[in-house]
Amino acid sequence: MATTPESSKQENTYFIQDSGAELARVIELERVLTRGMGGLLPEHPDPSALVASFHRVLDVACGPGGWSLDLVQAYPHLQVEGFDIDQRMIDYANSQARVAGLDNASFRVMNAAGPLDYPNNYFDLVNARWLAVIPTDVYERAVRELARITRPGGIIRLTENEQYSISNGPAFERLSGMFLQAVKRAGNTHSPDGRSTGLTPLLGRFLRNAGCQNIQMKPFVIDWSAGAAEHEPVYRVLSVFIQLLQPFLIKVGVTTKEEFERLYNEAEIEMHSDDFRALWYFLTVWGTKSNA
Amino acid sequence: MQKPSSWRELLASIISNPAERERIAAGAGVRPITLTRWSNGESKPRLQNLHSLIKALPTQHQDPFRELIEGEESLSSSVLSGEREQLEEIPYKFINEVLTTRASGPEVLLFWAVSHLILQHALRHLDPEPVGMSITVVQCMPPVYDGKIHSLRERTGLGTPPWPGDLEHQGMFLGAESLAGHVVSTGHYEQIQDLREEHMLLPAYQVEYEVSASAHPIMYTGRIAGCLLVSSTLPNYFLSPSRTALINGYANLLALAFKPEEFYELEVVQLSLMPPLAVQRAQFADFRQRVARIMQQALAAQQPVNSVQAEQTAWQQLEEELRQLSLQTM
Repeated sequence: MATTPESSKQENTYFIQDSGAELARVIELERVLTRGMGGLLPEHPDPSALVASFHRVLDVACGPGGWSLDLVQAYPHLQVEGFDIDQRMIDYANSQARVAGLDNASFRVMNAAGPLDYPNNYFDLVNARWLAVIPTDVYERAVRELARITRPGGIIRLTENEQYSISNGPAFERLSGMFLQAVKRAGNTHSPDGRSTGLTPLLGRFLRNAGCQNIQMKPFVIDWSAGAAEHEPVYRVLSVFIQLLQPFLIKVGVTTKEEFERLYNEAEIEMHSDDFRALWYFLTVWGTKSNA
Repeated sequence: MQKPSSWRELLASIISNPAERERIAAGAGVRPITLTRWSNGESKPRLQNLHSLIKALPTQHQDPFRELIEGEESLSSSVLSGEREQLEEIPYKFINEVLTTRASGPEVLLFWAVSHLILQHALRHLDPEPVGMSITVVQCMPPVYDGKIHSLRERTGLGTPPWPGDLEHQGMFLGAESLAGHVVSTGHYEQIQDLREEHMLLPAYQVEYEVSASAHPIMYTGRIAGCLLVSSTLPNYFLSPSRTALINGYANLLALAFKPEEFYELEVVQLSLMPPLAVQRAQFADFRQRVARIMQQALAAQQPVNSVQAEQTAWQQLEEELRQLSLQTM
């Protein structure tokens, strides 16, 4: 199947647009989350045994390619392809692969919401972390498309989170709530009331409806409270994220510039305080494509 | 001696000398055990590994080695193709991305965004295996009371194992006693190929895991902002001229992460001696709380400061406290 003009030109619905700092943030986010979740395939007790018989792996919405590149570095027999809607992310990923001599990793621009330019039954493993940014009404269809390109017996794994952390910081929580409300106003949530993304409970059903079986799930939590090992890196990533969110939050009308700046300043103080406590929850759900 | 029938056989004979094996491994940017695995067929080198390996071999073995590779179909086309320069260049598309980030990002995130783009790229480029590397941006502490720079600070950094991935919160102050201090004082790059040996010509102390080091000034119009400090777990890792040229290139790119006012004339760099890491760590324990206090006080005075400004103030307080400590123990 060839890439259609429609699929490559579909609108990028991501709420942070064209910021110079976004690429750096996502690079750092990938590192933090892979480490914080315990590795590349942390839900499997023996990832080496799992991928030993695999050849082709797809990384969906791969961003700057950190997961893919780490995977081929760890398992050189794999051929990993990644795609993302953002040309800058793809350029960076390809540049990284080139300078590291990782000629078994390649990246290109494609929209996870559209039809995918891969043959049927092609990949042994399909990885999708944080697809939540694609429109709500096409998420399930996108999972079906991932199933189409996965070979029978192959694995699809989806990882999502519900909120950008739960903390004891009042201003941080206000900003987090504003973000969820803004996403709801923008029409991109599965939650009935906008108090979460509402996505994680649906992942298993999406995989089942797409023809997967043996569906399993594993939760992860990163503790980035003051004094925890992950405090500093997660603080940096989320602090930058909140700053970059400002135009989106103001645009959809959940805050004003003055209120945002006041809350952000207070949240910064909270995050630096000795008694700050915060947990970041994730869920990975995976299933095997049935042979039927 | 019988002529080797394969490149693996030739490699095995060359690396039968342990010292030579270690030297070639460092030159090729791989672990010594990797060379052994290639030679006995346990694993296969990647394209880029082969380019680096050939360059690291003794000159008399390079052509025979190439000829033997030509005879192995699965390797020859990639090795002999025109991709040889890939390791030695920073791709233009990446440089353009750095320029775009600098042009469009918010000012408060300039350093963070540009330096992270560059460090991540440099780490994959300089340590593709990976064999163990740390890469750190060291910045001049701005003058406070006498117009002079008295210390440097490791502002951000990344690593591959055995170093942790994120080195930012491990940053310390460096002074005249350090390799970085020497480089910032002179404006010229310096390398130490084996910190385990005596090296009285250059100031340096060995940090955990570090065996060789290369420090390169970050400059703009003849003024200096700091240096890029790269450390490896392997000896002689920085003997390769192409690797040195790459680090110089990344150091030059890093100049884009700084504002013009963060560069200083070399004459104002007058570094003090800074206390050892253990002493510094004790002082850093309440760093985040210091920052929170500074922000709270500024907010109470209705002159709020952002976290970057508050951190800078906290680092300046710490610098002065450490200098006083150092003076007391001299």
